[in-house]
Amino acid sequence: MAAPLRLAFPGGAGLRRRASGALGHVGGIAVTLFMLVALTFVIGRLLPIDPVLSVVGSDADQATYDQVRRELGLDRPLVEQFAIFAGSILSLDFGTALLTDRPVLEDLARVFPATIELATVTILLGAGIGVPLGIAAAVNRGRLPDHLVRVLSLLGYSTPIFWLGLLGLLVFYARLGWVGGSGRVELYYVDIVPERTGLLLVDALLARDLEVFWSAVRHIVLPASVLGYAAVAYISRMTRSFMLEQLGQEYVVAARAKGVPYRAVVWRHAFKNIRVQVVTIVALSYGGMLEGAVLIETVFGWPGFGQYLTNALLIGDMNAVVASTLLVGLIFIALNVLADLLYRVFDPRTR
Amino acid sequence: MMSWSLGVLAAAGAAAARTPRDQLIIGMNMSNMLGLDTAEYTQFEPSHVQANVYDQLVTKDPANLRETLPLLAGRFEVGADGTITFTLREGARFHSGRPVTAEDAAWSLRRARLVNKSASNQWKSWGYTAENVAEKVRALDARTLVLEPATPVAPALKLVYLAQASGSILDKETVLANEKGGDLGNAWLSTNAAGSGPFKLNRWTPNDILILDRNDAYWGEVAKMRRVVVRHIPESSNQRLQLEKGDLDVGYTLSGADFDGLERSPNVVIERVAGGGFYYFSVSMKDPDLGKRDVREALRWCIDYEGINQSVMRNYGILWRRQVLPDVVGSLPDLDYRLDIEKCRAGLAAAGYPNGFKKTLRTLSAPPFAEIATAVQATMAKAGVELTILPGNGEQVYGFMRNRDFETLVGRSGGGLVPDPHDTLRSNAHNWDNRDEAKLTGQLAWRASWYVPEVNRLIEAGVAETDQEKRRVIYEEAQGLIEQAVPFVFPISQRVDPFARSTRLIGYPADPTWMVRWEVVSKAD
Repeated sequence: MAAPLRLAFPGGAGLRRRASGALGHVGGIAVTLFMLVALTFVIGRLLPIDPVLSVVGSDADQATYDQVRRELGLDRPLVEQFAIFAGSILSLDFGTALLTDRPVLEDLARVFPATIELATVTILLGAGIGVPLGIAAAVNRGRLPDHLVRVLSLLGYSTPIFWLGLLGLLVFYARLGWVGGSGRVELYYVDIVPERTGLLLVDALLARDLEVFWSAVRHIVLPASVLGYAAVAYISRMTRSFMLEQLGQEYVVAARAKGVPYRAVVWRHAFKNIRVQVVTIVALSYGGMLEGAVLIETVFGWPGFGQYLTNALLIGDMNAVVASTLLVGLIFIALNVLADLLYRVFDPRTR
Repeated sequence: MMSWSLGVLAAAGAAAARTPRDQLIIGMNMSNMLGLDTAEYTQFEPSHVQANVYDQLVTKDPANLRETLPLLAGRFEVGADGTITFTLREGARFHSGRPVTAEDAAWSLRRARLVNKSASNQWKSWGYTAENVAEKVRALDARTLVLEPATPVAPALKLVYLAQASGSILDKETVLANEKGGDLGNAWLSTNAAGSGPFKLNRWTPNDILILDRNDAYWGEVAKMRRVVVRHIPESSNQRLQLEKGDLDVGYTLSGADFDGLERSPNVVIERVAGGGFYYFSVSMKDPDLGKRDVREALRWCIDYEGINQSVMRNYGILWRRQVLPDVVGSLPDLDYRLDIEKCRAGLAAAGYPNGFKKTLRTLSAPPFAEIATAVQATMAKAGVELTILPGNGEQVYGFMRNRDFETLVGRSGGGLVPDPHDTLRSNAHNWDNRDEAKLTGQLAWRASWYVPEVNRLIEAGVAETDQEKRRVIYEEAQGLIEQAVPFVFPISQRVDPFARSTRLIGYPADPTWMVRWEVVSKAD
């Protein structure tokens, strides 16, 4: 029904329908984001945290307290506060963070690249190792490789990540001296390469400064490996179960009966069919990491988004919290869109 | 437990690394570094930076805090009426290259009052208003500054505060060039600095790194370190590993367990600096039971002061039970309250509570507060006083206290040591208007509704007295009266600010007033 219509009016109803679909999408996103702001704002104001005390200290006199409260706009009715707040967000003004006394957007632009860098290296490790491991486990179901992968991923699930981080520091930093202790780079390399992308590994390469690059590698490898281990555990378990489901299908038996080599069946047929599911879980893991790995960022003194958001929450810094929440919301929406696009590439039925 | 076991492993074989000889590398949890304006932020972390990028008119010798020494003011004289005249030394320049003038100094002090943030509290309590401050604090010529009293206040007390970060002298022209909407540079100074100190602020990235560069044109002794780097290391065990390995010279925000663990490291020294304020157990006089003098007197025997100090306070405080800290004018020997359940029980029975009573106990959930609260709860229970612990974070707990909404509470008062008896008495005993609507929320005494007019009178007389010997007599008398009336706050320990430093460092100051000046620090090799 749709096809002839589209053929008949190539620039008319089809386009209109698509446009209205896109508008609906955008409207949906806008409503989601608005609800996110409203919810965060209300929860933030209900929390028994007094941001004024964080600024003035618990010994301040009432006049100082009242003045700061007025300056923060906390003396106005909640509805008015929200109206002002939502209004300024619409004009992309997220205000100043109590936490740093700087514009929130400037803060986010500073802390977010550090988290993107860590999350990206982590997901490359996590997916790069986790997917093949999962497939290996599925193919060797019930045999030694399967058991090994199971033990490995159970450990990854059940070990507290901060403990693993500390243990890693103890062995690889303190004992062996292979990796850096904290932060993104050795202290004497701070400020050496010009900041272009905010991703230190990329910036160092762009500046062709290999010393800084290796220092950054030495600093990112341990936190990314620790986080990556947890990701490997999750991704390999999921991949294994997706794969097992496919290997039990009749087309696999048929292909084998036709004489297609097992390796080819696994990779060319079965794996093709689980790509969509694998993409989904990898995208979700990546999104989770972009929210910030608070514990790992704390253990490694990694100046990222997770620490920023947590510190902001602790002192009730609503400007920073709402902007951060919106950012996380946007990330998940973007990842959803991206996953949708990849579905279309991998699975013709969804086109 | 975990950090302890890790520490044992680490101690076994840390490969040696070394910080550069001409750079000082400091580890600190910088989450509390919210800004650098000396009129607004006076907490522990910013104080350490402010002390090095700014100079003050006068300074304190950390080894002898009763003495006030000249700094930017080469000389100062105290007149009979309490007027202090400062003569600025020649040759001092701001980082901008401008000479430091008396007008800069006068403007900076007035600014502390006019910005109306934390640092203005003192100026307000000394009677300075937005209207009279310009007339009372003024430059006579390029090098002479007078500080006239607005109300009678002991000049010694003012000098104590002028030596702190809030008494910093700022580059007036540079600050005003960055003023926004009449804020006297408040927003700009949060993230920038305009001082004359031995170090210049190179950069500060919140929750990451702060770099100070040596001021080679410093008027005094030029710093031995070319650079000071403060790195944000929120996790205590990580700080400890880096100290043991030699990648850090100083570690400031370690946990008690990690301080204890580091004590076994041959390359690290732990300094425990007795500072300002107390860890205390407090009761509200609004409560009909706790408001009775005899009940409070009995409860004082229900706390295991020595046990708490020996077991949980090692890295947080040292035993002290009086309202005035040791080693200041009017200090008296410590009181002798100790755990005596029988005495406590008998006292409660005599006050009409043979079976005790039930109350709530608010406390911070962090160490050592939670541990103190648990210890107090256990010993009180033996005398029939049942305390239910209500934990919370700092803003919550003190928020309830500021609203006079608590029964009993374990907390901590004070900040950097202010070596004057008025500092602790002002907060712990002075309450000049006990009505709810007076909202003297900065006063512990008001928060607990403790109101003793005679004590108020003595505190007011003490702060107005210019003669230190007469002040001593007044403060001794005030402490006698406080004990007679039985206070609402029972100090358990004097606050201690511990830090760990490398044995390579020479001359690293342990300053209880938090004005740690890094220009005197050098390295042995």
